[in-house]
Amino acid sequence: MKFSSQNPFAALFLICALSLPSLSFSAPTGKLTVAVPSEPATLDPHKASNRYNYMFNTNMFEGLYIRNDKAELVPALAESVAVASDGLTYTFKLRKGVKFHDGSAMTADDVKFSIERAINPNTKNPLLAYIKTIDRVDIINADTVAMKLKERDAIFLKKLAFAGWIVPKNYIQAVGEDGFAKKPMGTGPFKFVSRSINEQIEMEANELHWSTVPKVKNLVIRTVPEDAVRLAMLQTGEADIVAEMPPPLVERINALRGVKTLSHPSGEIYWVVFNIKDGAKDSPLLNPMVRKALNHAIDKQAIITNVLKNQAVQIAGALAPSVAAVDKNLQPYAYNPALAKKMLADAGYPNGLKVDMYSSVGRYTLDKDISLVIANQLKAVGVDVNLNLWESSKWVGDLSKKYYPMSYQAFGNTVFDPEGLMIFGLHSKAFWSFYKNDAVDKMIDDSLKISEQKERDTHFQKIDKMLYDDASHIFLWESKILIGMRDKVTWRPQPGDNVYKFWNASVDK
Amino acid sequence: MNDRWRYLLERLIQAAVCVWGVSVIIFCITHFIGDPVQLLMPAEASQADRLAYQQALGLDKSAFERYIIFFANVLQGDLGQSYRFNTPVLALIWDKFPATFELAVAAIVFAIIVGVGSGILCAIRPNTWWDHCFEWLSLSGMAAPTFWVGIMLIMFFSVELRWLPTSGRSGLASLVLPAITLGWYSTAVISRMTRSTLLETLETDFIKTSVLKGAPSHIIIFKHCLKFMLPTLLTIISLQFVTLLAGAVITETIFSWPGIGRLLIQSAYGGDYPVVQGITVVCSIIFVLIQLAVDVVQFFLDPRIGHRQ
Amino acid sequence: MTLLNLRSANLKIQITLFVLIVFVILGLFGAWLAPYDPTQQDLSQALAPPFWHAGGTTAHLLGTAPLGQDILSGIMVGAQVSLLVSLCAVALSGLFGVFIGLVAGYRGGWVDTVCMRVADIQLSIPFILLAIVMIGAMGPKLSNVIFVIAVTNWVTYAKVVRTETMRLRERDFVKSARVSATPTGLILLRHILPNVINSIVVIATLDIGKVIIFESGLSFLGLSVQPPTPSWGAMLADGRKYISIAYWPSMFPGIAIFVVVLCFNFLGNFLRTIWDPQSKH
Repeated sequence: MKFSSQNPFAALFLICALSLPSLSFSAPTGKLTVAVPSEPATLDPHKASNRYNYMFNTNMFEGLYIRNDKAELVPALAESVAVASDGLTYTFKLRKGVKFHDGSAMTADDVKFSIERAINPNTKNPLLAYIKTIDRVDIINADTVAMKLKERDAIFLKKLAFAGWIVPKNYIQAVGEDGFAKKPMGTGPFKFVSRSINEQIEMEANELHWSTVPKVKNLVIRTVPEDAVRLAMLQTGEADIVAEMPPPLVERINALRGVKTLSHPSGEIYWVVFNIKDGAKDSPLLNPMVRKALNHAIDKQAIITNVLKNQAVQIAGALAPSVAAVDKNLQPYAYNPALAKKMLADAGYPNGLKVDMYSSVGRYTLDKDISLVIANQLKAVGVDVNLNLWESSKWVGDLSKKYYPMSYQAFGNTVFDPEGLMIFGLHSKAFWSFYKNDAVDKMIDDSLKISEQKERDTHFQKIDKMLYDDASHIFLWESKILIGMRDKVTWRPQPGDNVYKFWNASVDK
Repeated sequence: MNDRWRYLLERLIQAAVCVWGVSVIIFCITHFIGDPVQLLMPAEASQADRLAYQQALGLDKSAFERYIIFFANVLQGDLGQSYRFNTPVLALIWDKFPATFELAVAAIVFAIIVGVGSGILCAIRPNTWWDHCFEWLSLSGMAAPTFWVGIMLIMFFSVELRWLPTSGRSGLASLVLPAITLGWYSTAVISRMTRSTLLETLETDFIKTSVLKGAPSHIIIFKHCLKFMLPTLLTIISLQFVTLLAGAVITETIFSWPGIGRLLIQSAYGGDYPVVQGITVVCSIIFVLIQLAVDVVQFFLDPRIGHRQ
Repeated sequence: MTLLNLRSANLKIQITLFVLIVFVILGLFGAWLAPYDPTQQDLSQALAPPFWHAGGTTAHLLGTAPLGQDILSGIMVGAQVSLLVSLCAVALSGLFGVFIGLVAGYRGGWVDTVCMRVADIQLSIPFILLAIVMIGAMGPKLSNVIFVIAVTNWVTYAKVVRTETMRLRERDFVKSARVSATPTGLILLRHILPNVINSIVVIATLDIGKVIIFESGLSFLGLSVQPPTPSWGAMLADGRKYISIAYWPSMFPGIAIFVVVLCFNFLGNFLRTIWDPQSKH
């Protein structure tokens, strides 16, 4: 071939040859340092109990189905799934060529082992509630695994994406449980390097990953409980991303050079919970009229604007817009203190009433401040609130033992489906639910049988309306999470939870 | 001689009893810290799951039974398993202790150098502006809350001046601010005590005679006075060191320093009984040994102090 | 002392006493003297700066806290907590510690050993832990905070009094009192106590400052009195989140603590110099 400028093929060849290197695989570079307020407990994914565990799990491990960095439910270690007509058997076709971080191949054995380990009572899996519908796991052939459920579960895949992490059978059997907790290994985009408790977790890009090799080579997640110090780290550049910053700092962070703020819906709904389950028979809080009055007494928008600096979105009922299809026509209870007083009088409390409220300090963002404001606003309509502010662990510990007539609480998102909130936070049988309404219970039980998405949406909207009409809680807002990030970082958090995935993050020089 | 060995033996036995007493007390009171089951189980866990977890942790047994198990294990060197991290408590403590030790040593070294140094300086030039200045400084040092000092130091030296890192343990530079924060109070105390003890010593006949004899001042101070001051100084420094170990909690929290103090408070708030018990037992052993060492050194230096009727 | 020293010492003591008197007045009457109810919220005035900054008003001289509470009022009323906690805790721990010290120092023998070992046990349990447990079990009330601090603070008094008592025990006037069969209690009260009281007062004065700082540390950890009761420690601890955007919620309570503790320290030092001739020059 003559390399003359007249020969088009030569030119084409030259262009291709020159552009070849940039089409080739570009190795991960750079280090991303993320500072968060707390850390995972144990690193074993089947013993995960707090959301920092979930954040670690999502970067280190994978399940048959996972949530990607846009929070979409996508197949991962499975290529596809076939659901039997009775809804009880899920047959997964496993992806080929998946390797664990040490290079060994992921097989059907690992899948069976992992799921059985996750549902085994001896494992003490705190998230067992999500996957205990799994009865058995069978290996059909080297590429196919079938799971049989005890009962139909419309959102089984969503739950599997939350709690069904796949771990290496041979490795765990070789190093033992302790060894695995010390040096975990999975198939995820990042592999484990080291962990220093109370200090940091260090991870490295997994270049053997079947689809997404992270753009950054090193990922360091540092545990820094002090808000002021996290901010300082952002300013000095010691941290590239700082998460869960207090909302009042949003303008300050924006004003820093080289830094921007990101804010995303957290999937967490906030409400004041009435303990209707254990309340005394003559408690005023058992009267829906009283509860409606209290809903009218709180100026929720004022709190969002002044205290939360707009890092929250008011909601009418119990459903979070980032998690469920919310009925746009449902209007929140308006702030109307005069109406509240009138309703209280009509309900038989013309001189107001006294009530005890228990709130945590430090468990939820600005929980103390917000509880103080709520107590203040209730006082203005004649409700004398005896506000008890307890340190977080005492508050949690006593939640199930003591009677909290009213308490400021949040409920988070795990499976991106209202069922989570309904089953674990509203059904009267749930441990963390303090509401009792037989009609709502029945509706929630019925929802488990509905599989079609649109039908589910409508059904949950109906339940939401029932809660709204009954003023089951003082409905407040869905919060947003405030993140500070240095300009040289390219990354977007997904809406709906704070289980951050870092495999698409990159750091410019 | 027999007397001294008997004293040593007595003190050792007392030390052991002391540690045992601590273990009983700490075992009883950790019950009040919080419920590990509620703190470690997520909202979704059902009542049945929680009961199962409680059984798995062995918390359904009676307190007495649990204490016997705990004590038997401690005698074998097994401090139990952390509820949160699922690792042996002893390994956890072993892992985190060096950080706190490093911090405490740095703080006490800072406190000794600056404290004793300034105390001597003030004592040899009493009532000058120098003395008053240091009096202000040391009394101020005892007037500022630790966490306040820490945050101010971070704001100034890390954020404004960028001289030092804001937090974390990453080499000598990161040790400076936490050590100063932690040692601040002790520096002031040591400074005052050195000054007053040295002033007292300078009044003694022995020293006055030395001065009259024309001994050079640095010999007087460093050789003679310090020898007199040593017992008192040792007591104070040892007490301060122990206070430091305890006071490290706040400093470690501010600076995210991965030491025992932070682990202790996290575990207390997180319902991790074994870690709380383990750390307390270890700390009490260390404390008791330090006390023992100080007492023994003093006794051997001056038997009258330890004499019992 | 030279004339210069005397005058400057006088001035220092005068200022110190003045500050402490103001502190006590605020501690007792702060609620009446304060311009606002420190718990009164005003969301529209949240985090307003002190009056000398742009955006500040003379309505809130020292600015406002995150929910619009007046900081000056918070400082004035918060003095009560600091005053009560420090005086009561020091008094309680002092009384108990002195008692133990007298008994242990005078009796000697196994009584002394038991007391000292109990003190060792007390000291080896980290104060923070004890505080977390006790406050956690009994609730974050003022009385519980005082109790917790008192329970952990008595050891210094006991040790100092014990050493002094052991020294005094061998003195002639005490020995003669023993020989003449004076009851032990009387000996302790009339002969020994007056001689140790000076050291105790000095320690106690210095201790007050230490306890005020202790209380602020407990507030930092969320273990002291809860809102709406204002306390300097709590204001300091709450304000630290906002330090980068508003220094005044933390700064002024911090200055208040600093000034009051400094004055108590000066006072204690001063008492030591006038009562202990050896350290005077």
